[in-house]
Amino acid sequence: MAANPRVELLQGTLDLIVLQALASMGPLHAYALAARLEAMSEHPFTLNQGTLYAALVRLDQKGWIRGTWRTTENNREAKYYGITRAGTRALEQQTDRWRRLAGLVDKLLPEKL
Amino acid sequence: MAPFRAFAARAAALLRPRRVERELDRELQAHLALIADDYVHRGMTPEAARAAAVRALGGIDLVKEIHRDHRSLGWIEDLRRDVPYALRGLRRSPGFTIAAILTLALGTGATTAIFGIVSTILLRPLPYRDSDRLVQVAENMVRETSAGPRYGRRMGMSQAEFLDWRARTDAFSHMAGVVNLMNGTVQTADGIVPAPRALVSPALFEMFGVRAVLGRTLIADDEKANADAAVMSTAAWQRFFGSDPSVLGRPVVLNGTPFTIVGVMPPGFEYPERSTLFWTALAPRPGPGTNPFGNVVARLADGVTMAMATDEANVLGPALRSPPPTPTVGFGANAAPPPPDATPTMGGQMRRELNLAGRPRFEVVGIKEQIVAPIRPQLRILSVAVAVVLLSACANVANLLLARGSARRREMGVRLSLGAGRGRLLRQIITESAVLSLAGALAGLVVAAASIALVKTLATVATPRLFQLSINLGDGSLLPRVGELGVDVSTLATALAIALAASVLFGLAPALHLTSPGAVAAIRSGGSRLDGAQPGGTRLRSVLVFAQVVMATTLLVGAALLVSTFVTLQMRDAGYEARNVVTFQLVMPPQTPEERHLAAIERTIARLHEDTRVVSAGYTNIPPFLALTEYGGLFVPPGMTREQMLSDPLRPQTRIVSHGYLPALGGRLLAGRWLGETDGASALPVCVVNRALVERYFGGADPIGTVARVFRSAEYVEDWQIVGVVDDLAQARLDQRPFPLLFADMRQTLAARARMPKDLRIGQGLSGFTTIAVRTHGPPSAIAGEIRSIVRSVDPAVNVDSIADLESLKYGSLVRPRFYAILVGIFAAIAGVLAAVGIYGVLAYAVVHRTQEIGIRMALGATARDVQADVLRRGLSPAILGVAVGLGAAALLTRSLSTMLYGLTPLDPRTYVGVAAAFMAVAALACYLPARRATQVDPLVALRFE
Repeated sequence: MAANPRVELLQGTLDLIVLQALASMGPLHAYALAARLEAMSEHPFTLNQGTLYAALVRLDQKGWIRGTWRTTENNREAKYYGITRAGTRALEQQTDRWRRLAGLVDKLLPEKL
Repeated sequence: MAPFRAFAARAAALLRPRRVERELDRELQAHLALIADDYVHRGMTPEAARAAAVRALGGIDLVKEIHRDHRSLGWIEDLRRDVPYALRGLRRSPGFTIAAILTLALGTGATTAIFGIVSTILLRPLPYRDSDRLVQVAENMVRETSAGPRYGRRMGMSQAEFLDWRARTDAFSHMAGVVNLMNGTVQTADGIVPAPRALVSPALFEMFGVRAVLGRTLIADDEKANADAAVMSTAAWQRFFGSDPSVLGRPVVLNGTPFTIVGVMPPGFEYPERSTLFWTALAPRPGPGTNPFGNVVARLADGVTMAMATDEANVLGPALRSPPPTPTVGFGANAAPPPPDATPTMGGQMRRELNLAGRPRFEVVGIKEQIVAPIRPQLRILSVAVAVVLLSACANVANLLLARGSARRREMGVRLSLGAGRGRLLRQIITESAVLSLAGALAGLVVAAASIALVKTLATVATPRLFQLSINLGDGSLLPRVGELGVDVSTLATALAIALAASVLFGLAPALHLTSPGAVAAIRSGGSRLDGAQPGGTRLRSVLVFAQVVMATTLLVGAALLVSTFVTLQMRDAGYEARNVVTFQLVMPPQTPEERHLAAIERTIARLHEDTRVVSAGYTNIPPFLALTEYGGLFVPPGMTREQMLSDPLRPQTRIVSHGYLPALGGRLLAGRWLGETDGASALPVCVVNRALVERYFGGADPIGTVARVFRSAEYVEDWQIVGVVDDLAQARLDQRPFPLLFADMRQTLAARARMPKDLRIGQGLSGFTTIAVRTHGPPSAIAGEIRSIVRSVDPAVNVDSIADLESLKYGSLVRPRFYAILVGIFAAIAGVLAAVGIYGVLAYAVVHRTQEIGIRMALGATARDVQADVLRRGLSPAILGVAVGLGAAALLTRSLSTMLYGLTPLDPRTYVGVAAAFMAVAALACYLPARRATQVDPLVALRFE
């Protein structure tokens, strides 16, 4: 599929970040989530909204998050995504896996760049 | 679990795309609203905020696209877009589309039909319980023929053998004898009516797992002498009893013997023949000298394999079987069907030899195998022929796609350079191919239905019952199980499967070619000309055309051989004038005394002679086109011994006739005289012999006046004088070589029998089938309608059957060669036309493609001739090469046709030269049209052709 290479690099990490954000912040709509993610990072980065939606679709399909329609404090309707129990379990596993992987990569890379 | 959930979610999304799409839209709108709120909050006007929000989101459509990619099963989604795209593309070029669909319809339709026929006959189980466990015991033998030894199989057993075998076997759980009573009759209110009956061991019904629809089948208790239980078919129940449900227990008279109806069989039960109307119990008599059965069928006991049963048969068989019994009349039913070229020496004429080419003497074979084995080589030939048609069709469509594709190279090139994956483009082109071939398959269903109908028509022989014996498969058809053929769901499935396979065949090569890296080069070259990797496409197309020509040539040679066989046979001199002759059978009441039988014949002939429309009429016991072997005494010419003649497989057969018979047929007298009125019972016994007999036993010398001895048994011999020689008359079929025959007057035959000691007389005096041949002045149809009443007026107890005019019998005997000539001929013609179209297509395209080059060459001084020669050379060289290779392939392959040919060999030089010449002429025409167009190129126009 033509779309695959574009998201490949980010895929694992973005999904993990989204899960983590939802786990710590509770249900959020996509815009809030994007704003949250941009603010979270030390060096602000602009997140492609399309990419974010791709991550949301993936997580939803895996049953790790669930979206429900609610109204915001400004009385706008929005779809709020919350982490599910399966999502929480997956988050633990993925975090663990990511740590091990990161540790490994860290060891393999030369100390000075 | 998660991957499965993801798949399920995607599949679900696929089922309700609009809802998902709406939901996404709503979410994105909400998202935009939130962003815009934010911007308004920061001081923007609502309009500016809205626009900024759209920018911030990064394009709604892009987000949607990414969302779609992730939520759906990509390829199905692609398909949803590719199919309408393909349909639009096909609608834009209707010429191409129609040509491709028609070509594919021919290919898939014909293939579907033949595949359906082959699978019905060869693969579908017979309609009996566990039919693959039903077997027969075959005895492998070597039979002497004039063409050298031939392997044959004999299926029969004597009654005594059957009883012993059944008592001793462990390998078979059931055994049943079957005697097919071809001349069975039933007494009706309308008199005696022919009613084919089978005498069967009652075990047959249990063995086959069939039940009666009314009453019962035969049971073990019926297997005794004088048992009077009769079971009838549904057809007989309708015809003779008006489907009366209270028919059980009613009496019925079969061949003069009273029976009681005990049951009615279901409509599908057609064993041993489709025409069988009644079944009565066979009660075998122990002791030597009993006649052989038609067949013995058995069921393998549980856990017994064919090999184990064969081992047992080779222990039991040799212990039980004495030298082969010699029946006096051999029906088709008690011998394996002879190969088409075999002379009709059946039954006892097989001689055992030790060398059976490594086969065991006895072999246990499946009954389905026994039914389909004779037809298998022919079915293989049809399969190959139809495969050639399908491949040719695929090659043509591939060629069309390539030609069309050339025009689309730039489209492909652009898409490739813009980053479309090659796989994605391949999938799209294959989708187009699949759409094409599905359309082709649907149109092909019509072709398939028509083909099956054609095959059924060609294979079904509208010949009176009596003569169907000659066609060799008994139930009125060239193909076994023809009644089971039809168009149904499996036909549709077959067509779709073939279409799918075909779309890969014809679609893949063009698809690969079109999306090859060269395609990108095509747009890089910038010009509007069609070039780049083009020579490769031309080469591929030439290879396809070459392959088509090879296949078409091979098939055309095969078809030409079969067609010229048929034409030769049709023009063959039958030895008599078949026009204006009608023959019919007299059905005598059972146990008719000889005198009354003879009187009925003589008075019928006399009555016919009184009619002014009748030229002459005569009687015979075995009419032309009836495959029946009847020796009727052993003819021993001077200088030969009885033993020598006994071992001669072609020893003369006897035909009992009235003296008017041979003249009525229009036979040609070569020497001496016809039998005459004066050759009566008390006169000196005389006979007329045929040319084949004179050539075989007299070396062609004049035999008139010679006295030959005729042995009625080992001890009883008579002298018969030869008074005439008649030219050979075609017997059972036109494609048989004539065999030695002698004709004797019926009065003298009966007198000779009367002179014999009583204990030596076997069977009836006038054996065979009582047949009258009538020659009329005009078409015999005029008198045919009155024959029944004429015969009734002579003897009210006598009935008439199998009225047939000799000419249609003559053509009826050619149904087999006609069947294969027409079918293979049609396939070859299609393949030939497809190949010619292929040649034309390639050249026509090449000329268009080279317009500019041709223009330059003509501008530089090339003449029209040069250009024409060049185009012709390019077109003809793959054709010439293809024809040459095709002829070589034909020389190798047509050997398998040898048994189906008459009057020429598989390497017949005239056929090869003719096919090559005809095909080259067509190819030249296909080349000439584009070549001529090439010479009409105007250099100025061509150079501007940008």
